[in-house]
Amino acid sequence: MASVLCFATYVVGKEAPTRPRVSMSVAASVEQIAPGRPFDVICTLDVPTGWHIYWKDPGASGAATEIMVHTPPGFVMGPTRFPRPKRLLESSGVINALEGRVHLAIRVGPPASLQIGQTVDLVIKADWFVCKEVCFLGAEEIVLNVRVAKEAGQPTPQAALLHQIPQPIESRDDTRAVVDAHLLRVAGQRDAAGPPSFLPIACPGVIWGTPSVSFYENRFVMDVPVSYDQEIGVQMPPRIQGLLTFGALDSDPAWEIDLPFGEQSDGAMQ
Amino acid sequence: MSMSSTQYARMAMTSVILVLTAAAAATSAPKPLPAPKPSPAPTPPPSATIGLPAPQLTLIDIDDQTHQLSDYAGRIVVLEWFNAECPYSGRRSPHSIHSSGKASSLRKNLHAVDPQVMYLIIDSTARNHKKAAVIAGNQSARKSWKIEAPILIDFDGKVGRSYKAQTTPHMFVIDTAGILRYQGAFDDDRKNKSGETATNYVLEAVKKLKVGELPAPSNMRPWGCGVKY
Repeated sequence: MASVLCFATYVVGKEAPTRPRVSMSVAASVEQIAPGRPFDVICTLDVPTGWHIYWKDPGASGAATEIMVHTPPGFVMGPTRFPRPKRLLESSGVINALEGRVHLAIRVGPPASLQIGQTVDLVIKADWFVCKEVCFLGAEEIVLNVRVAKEAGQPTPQAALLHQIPQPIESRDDTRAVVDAHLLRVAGQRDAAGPPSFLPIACPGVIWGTPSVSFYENRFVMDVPVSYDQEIGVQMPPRIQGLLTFGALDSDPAWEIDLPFGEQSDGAMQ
Repeated sequence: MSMSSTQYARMAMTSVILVLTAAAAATSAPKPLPAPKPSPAPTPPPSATIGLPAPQLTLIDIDDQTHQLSDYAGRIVVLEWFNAECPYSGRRSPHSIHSSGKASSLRKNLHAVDPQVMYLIIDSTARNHKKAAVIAGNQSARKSWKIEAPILIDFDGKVGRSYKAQTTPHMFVIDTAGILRYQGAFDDDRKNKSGETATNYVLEAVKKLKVGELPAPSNMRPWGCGVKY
């Protein structure tokens, strides 16, 4: 006990860094779910001012926030969708931080065999790593009860939050992203928020170059050199993942890019 | 590569001097230039690169013993960046490589592969703490987790920066010739869920070196708390 106390004294010094309270809430995107009809679970984490948690690619340090949804058999879960992070420069490098009220979403596909009128318990567990000058691990688990009806219910108020989370780039009008063995090319309409950029998600062996952007009237073409080092890479086949971003603020528009590496696209782009 | 404020200041000063020199040259009569003095080729700042000699280090441990990398020439050296405050490193937590016993298991396994392996722990997060407090804290962590490896204090962070140590833990493996052969994550089990099935990249790297092969992977993204330089 003495050593623990001594350790704690060192850790905290005179200015004890108390564990920040990250509060969590969850909601479904619809009032009632229907058999075989996908819906979203929205998990909201309130991070105290001055602290941050981490995006799915934490950057130079940190650890990604993770959401796990435990369901009865037959449900299919999608990946966790994250908001656009804020890029913070720390002494160890640039990190991808999430601050304030953070909304994350997971697409849930219920089985067609659900019984009308039954209630389903979805156990949603979140793990996070919250940091300022010091860091703390945190976790919470909440059970979300959803009722099964013949038709999906009205959207809940939380469904509107899904618009704050980057959508797949395929859903952006008149925009395409293709990748070959040397280049990721994204072309589309410009955005009033500012010039486009690319925030990659690290994948072992995938090496990124500096993006270059050209503008043609109201359109842009962004080229990002990319290569794959098989000696470093451990994940096969590698994927090209990241965010197409516009402007500099974490509230500015962003779109998810997720493509298999090295596959030739189906056509040329302007 | 980023520049420090001092480097920016030097660059700005150099630019001013160059501009002033150019202005003076333009307005005054030409004079014969002095013969250039021979100067050594610029040497890049030492930094850790796989396949190149590991940056030298000279640090004092918490028992006031000095350690130099050259002391361990001919032996495989493992470096672990450490922070007694970090829940992935030296603070008690289910994910801590020390309080969970993963670090001591690694040392045991390393010594089974090669009893001569030298394992050094380095704390580069000391800048904002008093020296005595840093030493006391690390001594306490050593006692709590029964750490047998020397804990070296990188008070000014120079060694950490030369290795580009980003996180705690951040691991480096140096071969018997002093060449850096692995840098990055401790293992593939940040949340400490895989148990015996986890892959420890350091152990795998040392095993490869012992049979005369290069580690693969040699570079895995490290996870953990950011090093607070």
